[in-house]
Formats: sequence, structure tokens, C-alpha cells
Amino acid sequence: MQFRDTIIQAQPSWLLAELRKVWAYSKKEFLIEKSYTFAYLFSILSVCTTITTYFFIDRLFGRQITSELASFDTSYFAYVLVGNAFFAYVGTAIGGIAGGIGSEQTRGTLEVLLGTPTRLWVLLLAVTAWNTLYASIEVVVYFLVGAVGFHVSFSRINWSTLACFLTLVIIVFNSMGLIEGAWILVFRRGTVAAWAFNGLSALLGGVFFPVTVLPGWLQQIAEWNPLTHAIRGLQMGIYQGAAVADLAHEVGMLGFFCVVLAPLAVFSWLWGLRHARVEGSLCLH
Amino acid sequence: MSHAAVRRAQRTKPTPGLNPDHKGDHCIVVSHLTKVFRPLEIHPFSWPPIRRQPPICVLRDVDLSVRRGEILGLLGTNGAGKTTLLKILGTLILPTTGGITVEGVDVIRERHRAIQLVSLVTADERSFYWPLTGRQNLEFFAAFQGLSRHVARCRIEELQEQLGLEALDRQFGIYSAGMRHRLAIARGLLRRPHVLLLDEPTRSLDPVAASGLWRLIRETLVTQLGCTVVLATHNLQEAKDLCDREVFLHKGRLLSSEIVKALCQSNGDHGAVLGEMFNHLTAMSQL
Repeated sequence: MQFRDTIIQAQPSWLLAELRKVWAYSKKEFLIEKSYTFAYLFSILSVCTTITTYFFIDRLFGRQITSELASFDTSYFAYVLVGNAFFAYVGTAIGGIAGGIGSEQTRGTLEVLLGTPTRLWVLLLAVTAWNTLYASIEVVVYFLVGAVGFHVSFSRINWSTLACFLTLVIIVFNSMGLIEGAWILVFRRGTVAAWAFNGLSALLGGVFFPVTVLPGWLQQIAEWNPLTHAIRGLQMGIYQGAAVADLAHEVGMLGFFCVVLAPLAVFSWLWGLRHARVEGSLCLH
Repeated sequence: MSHAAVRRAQRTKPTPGLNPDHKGDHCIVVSHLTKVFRPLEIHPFSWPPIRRQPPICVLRDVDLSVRRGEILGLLGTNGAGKTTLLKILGTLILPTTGGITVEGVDVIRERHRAIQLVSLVTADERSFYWPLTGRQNLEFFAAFQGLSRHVARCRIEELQEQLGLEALDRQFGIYSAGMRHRLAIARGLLRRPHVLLLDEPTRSLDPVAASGLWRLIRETLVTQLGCTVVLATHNLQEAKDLCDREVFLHKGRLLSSEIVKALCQSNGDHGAVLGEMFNHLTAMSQL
């Protein structure tokens, strides 16, 4: 009965055992990332070059605070710094999560993971946890380089607003990444829609310039882009110290996207996994 | 007397399954199992953009039962449906019709319970994280099997010795095919399962490693721990020496094990009968 004892010892508490899986997945991702040290260093370097480029663009136009920027009470450089930093969450969700699921499927490890006694929510949490952490580190790098290298002031930052928007941003964009991942599970390729969203959301989401610069009809479309509300809320919370109550419209819209997208992500995965089990597409070579 | 014959004579008492209501002698029961694949395809520039491919019937009305503590050999030519059957047993593929129980647990309806009883070792040696070491890979999969860190370490040490896993602290990417395969077997054995499903387990192993694995399966897993093993293989010698019973899958149909048994009794030479049947089926599948 030696093996029975092993099973009993193996499960001190089911929640602890499940959370260990999330930790193990994040650790695995970290070790893989660490093995590509140069890639990581280059991604930090790319953050620095992006920031520097916008710094000189801002200088070229005389560091003016235009009427569009007035509502944020900040310079173009500071604006685009925050926009770029939080756009990392979109890139990570669409590229990181969906790409990661695709490579697990191609490698054959997804099939092995699904052959273990692991609940679906644990697997989804494991897949999203590392990507969120990675994107958050990138955000911190943006802020550090901005503050230390270019003397951007974050003195008016409202931490509760930042925490509230970060939570909403993580839920919304990870849900989108998971929907894309479920699509890959079924069709064995990524969606054009996801990549189109990735590109368009930067244009329409206020990453590089305030949405108010756009023509009226594009502003109407931008209203249905979660990134628009995320960037606006974060800009106001960081540079104006706006409270959550002052940003009720943005919080409401992001909350709406959460309510729609989070269950849709779980449903997509339930359907996608079932379909992959029916068609035997959990593993592809 | 062959090892298999010794084992038949010394068969251990059945190990009680995890389902307390399951009192039967059979660990695995497959009834009227049929599997038809009909994958979806995307055609972005035509209507409808999403279409189903023509159906491929991989398993047809398969009936099979495996006794507890038995080593069953699943023989068949390429494309016979062996891997699909193993993956269905391993809860990775859903059947189109039919039912399967493992230790009385319905594999289709009670997937989470069934998954704790079975372990599938596939012939795929790539399903690891290449930048990580062998040990890091095993520790990762042990965590997903629900093993605590301490138990995982002990099991890895144990398996390292039993399977001759050398250089466990080197990157997986630089391992030989044989070492990768041994690591895949070690992963399947981390949580000493009730039912072990092996898909061509000795494909990339040298003769010494293969006989070591056979010994581990026979002496430790089956005789000592009462594990049930289903082994899909092309290697007739392996089937003859290791298995208690063999069944043939041909184009998704299971040929009765009674035929094999009767032929063996009339012919006397077990290995020759298996060889003849295999050659015959290979010739048939090429027609």
C-alpha cells in the first residue's frame, strides 16, 4: 500500500496543492525566461528606446500642453509614457497568453497538463498569473525609467484608483487572451481579429494621443474599446490624483467589459477543451 | 518458464479500487466504444468559413475488459487506433459512443476522479520544456500531479535509480532520444498510478534500458503494487515476454483475444502466432 500513502501525503489540503500548481507554472515560465537572458535584456532596452523616442518627439514640439492634454494636466511625454506602459497588458494578453497556450499545444505539454488531476480554473489562473506578473514588471520598468531617467513626477498618484483600474485591466485583458487561447485550442491557429484588435486598440485606445484628437465617429467606436477607458482612468488617477468616484464612467465601462468577457472566457475554455477532447486536438505536431 | 508465465502463476490478489462500490474483478471495462473524428477547418475566403472535415472512424464498437493486475498487450499496425484507445482511457479524448469504467469510475462522466487513477505515457518525447533540466521538468509535472515537494523529490530520486536517469540536472534539449523517452516514462510513474497506459514504451530505448523497464513494470508496478498495465506496442518480443494477454486492433476493430488464445493453444508457439497474425494484418492494411 506504499503508493496509496504517497497519494495521501501528496494532498495536505486541496487548495494548497492547487495553488502550488500556479506557483510551479509561474516558476517554470520564469526559468524559461531566465534561460533567454538576452531576450529579456533586449525587451528592457526596447522600453528605454521607446521612452527616449517619445521624449525627443515631445521636445521637438516644445513640450506644450495642448487643449487635448489639458484635461490630464500633463505633458505629451508623460501621457505617452503611461499609455505605452499599460498597453503592455494588451500585448501580454493577446501575444503572451494565447501564444503560450499555442506553444503548449504544439509542444504536447498541454495534453500532459490536462492529463493531470488539475481543475480548469487552476490551469487558467496558472496561465494568466505569470503573464500578468511579467506585464506588471514591464510597467514598473516604464515608470522607473520615466521617473529616474526623465524626471516625470508621479507625486499626485492616487493608489486606490491605480489598484482599482489595474484589477479591472487585468481581468478584462486576460479574459481576451483566454478567449483567443480557446480559439487556438479549437482551430489550431490564432484569430486575425485578435491581432487586428491589438493594433487598432493602440490607435483608438488613447495610447499615443488622447482619444479627443480623433474625429467624432472614431471617438464613438473608441468608446467600445476597453483600453480607452483603462488609459483615461489611469492617466487621471496617476497625474491628477482622481478618486475612483470621479471616474465612475470609466469604472462602469470596464466593469461592464469584465462582466461580459470573464464568463465568456471561461465558457470559451469549457467549449474549446470539450471540442479539443472530441477532436483529439489537445496535442499537435 | 517465461517471466509472464511465472507472473500468471503468482498473480497477486486484486487491489481494492478507489470506488468503494466497485467489487468486480475487472479494473478496466470498455463497452461498445466508437470514435469518429470530424475536425473543424477554417476557409476564410469561402462560405461557410468554418467547415467540418469528412469523418474518420478510428474505433468501431470496441469491447474490452482488463483484469486488475493484468498486463494487456494492445497490438496493431499503424493507424489501427491503439493510441486513440489509450488516450480515451487517459481521459484526453472523448469517445463518440460507448462507455468506459476504470475501477468502477466512469471515465467520461467522472473525469476528475478517473484521472487520478490512470497515467498515460505517450511515445512523444518532445512534450517537455526544453530549456529546463530533466529534474526541473519532473518537479514541475509532479506539482501538477498534486505531489508535495518532499514526496516529489523522493519519487524522482527513486525513479532516477530505477530507470537509470543520468544527467538529470542537464538541459532537456541536449538529451538523447533514449533519455527523453526514459524521462517521459518517469513522468508517468511519478504518482504510482492504479492503471498505467504505455504507448510504445521501449521505442527509443536500448536493449538494457528496455529490459530494465520491463523488470520495473513487472516486478515493482504489477507484482508489488497491483498496478494494471495496458501496453500498445509493435514489438512482438515485448508483447510475448511482458504481457499476460494480447489483443489485436485492426482498422479500429478489436479482434477477439479468444482467437489469439486458441491459435496459441493449437500452435504451441506463442511468439510465432503473434508474428503470423501481425504480418497478416500488416499485409491486409496495405491492400
